[in-house]
Amino acid sequence: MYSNPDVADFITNNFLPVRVHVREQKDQFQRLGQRFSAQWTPTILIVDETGAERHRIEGFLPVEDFMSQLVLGLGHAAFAADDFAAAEPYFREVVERYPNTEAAPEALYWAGVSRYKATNDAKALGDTAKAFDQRYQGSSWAKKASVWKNH
Amino acid sequence: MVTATEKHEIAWSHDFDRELERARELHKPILLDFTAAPM
Repeated sequence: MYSNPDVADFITNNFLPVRVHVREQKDQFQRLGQRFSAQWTPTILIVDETGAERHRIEGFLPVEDFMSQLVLGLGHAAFAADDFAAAEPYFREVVERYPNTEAAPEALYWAGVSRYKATNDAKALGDTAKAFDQRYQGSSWAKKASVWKNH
Repeated sequence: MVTATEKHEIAWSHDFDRELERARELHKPILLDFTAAPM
């Protein structure tokens, strides 16, 4: 994943990258692995500036799926910081650039929530429910959004 | 001189605590990778 130049550049530009090797850094792994409940490799976490985990990727992913998870994680980090205006574009980017990934329906859901939280306009939730009528109908995120159809 | 290959390499830190301090200063999230791959 990391040998891909687009992945490497994206990580360099958007994150502070930290690597903990389970065998070569046993002390760090024991402490941080326990703190973040890392029980498998690769486990990749997006941790915000408060030290809180905001997104988790477990196991290898192809480049497109991995990139979609990284952008999704940036959205979740911004959302957790109550920066809904910053979160929504990340979620929209996942849907637009990586529409066939597992991250996309989750991102569509949270894009709607972000817009609602930013505007306090329930139409954002209704629009999201309608968007799920057009795509990702079988996803768990479509089911979660279905309750908003009358908004 | 930085080559094209080097330019696309990730400059991994191995010190989480130091990077968390930098994260607070820079308002940037950490990507924390637990790995068993050869280093």
